[in-house]
Amino acid sequence: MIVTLDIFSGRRNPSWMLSDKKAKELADRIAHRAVALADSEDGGHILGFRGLVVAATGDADGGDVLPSAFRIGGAAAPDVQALQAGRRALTADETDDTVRWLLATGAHAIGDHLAAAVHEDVEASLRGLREAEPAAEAIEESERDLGAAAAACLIANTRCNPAFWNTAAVQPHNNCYNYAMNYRSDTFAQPGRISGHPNSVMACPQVGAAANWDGCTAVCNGSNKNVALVIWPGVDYHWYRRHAEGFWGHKPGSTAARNVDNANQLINGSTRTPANCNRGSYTVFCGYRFSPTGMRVR
Amino acid sequence: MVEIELDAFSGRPNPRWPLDDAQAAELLALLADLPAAAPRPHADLGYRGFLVHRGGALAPIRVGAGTVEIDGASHADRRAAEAWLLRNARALGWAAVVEGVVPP
Repeated sequence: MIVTLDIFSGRRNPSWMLSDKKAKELADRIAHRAVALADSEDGGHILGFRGLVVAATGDADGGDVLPSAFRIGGAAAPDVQALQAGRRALTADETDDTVRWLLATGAHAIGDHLAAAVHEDVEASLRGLREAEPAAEAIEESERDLGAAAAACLIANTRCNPAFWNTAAVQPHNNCYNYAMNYRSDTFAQPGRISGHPNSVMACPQVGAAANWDGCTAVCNGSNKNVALVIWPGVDYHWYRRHAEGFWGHKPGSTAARNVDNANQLINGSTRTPANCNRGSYTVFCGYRFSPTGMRVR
Repeated sequence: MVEIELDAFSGRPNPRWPLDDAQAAELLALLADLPAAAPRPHADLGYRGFLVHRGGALAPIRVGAGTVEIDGASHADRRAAEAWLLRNARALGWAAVVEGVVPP
């Protein structure tokens, strides 16, 4: 999960990643509760602290436990549909506690020089929230069964979810490698960077090896998704990811995710595949590979 | 400062370079007061056009396929801003990329 402190107007807001353990802790805090959606515009005109936006890093459907992107703190109201479904909003105490806990997880991203100003803004916002608070309610606990990855090959392609990627906050900062490995890093991820093995040679062996350092494999073992690598020789690389529907999706650079090729034809996975679809100048097909479920890139 | 981004790559970051003041003024004049046009078709792998970064909180202007997109609205590239940008990119050594040349 990515947390963004929504506080600045002109400069970019600080963001940081939650570890798996912290993400689970957050899910346990607010699962099945009504929270404001991330794109809620209430309070958008406020200068200063407007809440903490929490967004999933992958596009897999998280079920009905949490929305894929939501807002904690600030003036935005909880999602009306969630309230109508009988979910309770967080109390002021719960919001206060969760905001402070989230801020503590991002101390490294906020930095000492910003911490004092942020603290003052947040305290003022939380005081306002508390004054408008009705009765406190107990936190509903939720357990999450993470399961265990099987050692045998399990293809776990997820359904196509372009709405996750094609937003102003996500689309410009995530490329084909982010999309194929299903990991939003907001860094325009490069093969080998997260594992300390960056590559600058635009050829199949070098790009493939860099991705292998990050976790990609030629042999399926455990839970994986299908991906494919192609090359514009000496210039660039491109990745595709297969979806549960059977077709292939991809995201050319900072453009929108889609499931069609350069001829605007569906890459249907049978007659049209990454190996034979219209790829423009990306003329070299390197082959199909496996990307482990949960693989991270940067 | 106005910066140009050549939108052509998928994996690697796109090439990006600054314009001097005279170039920036010339280009922005080409992009002013353009008539409305239908949105461009979907973007492909390979050369897609240019992004003109104007600095500050202004969203970049997208130029390509005969259209100019400013703040979500599409306009006709009536003054050939894309051709101007292509000349600029070629002069900086990006001819093979904008033409989609594949090495033998």
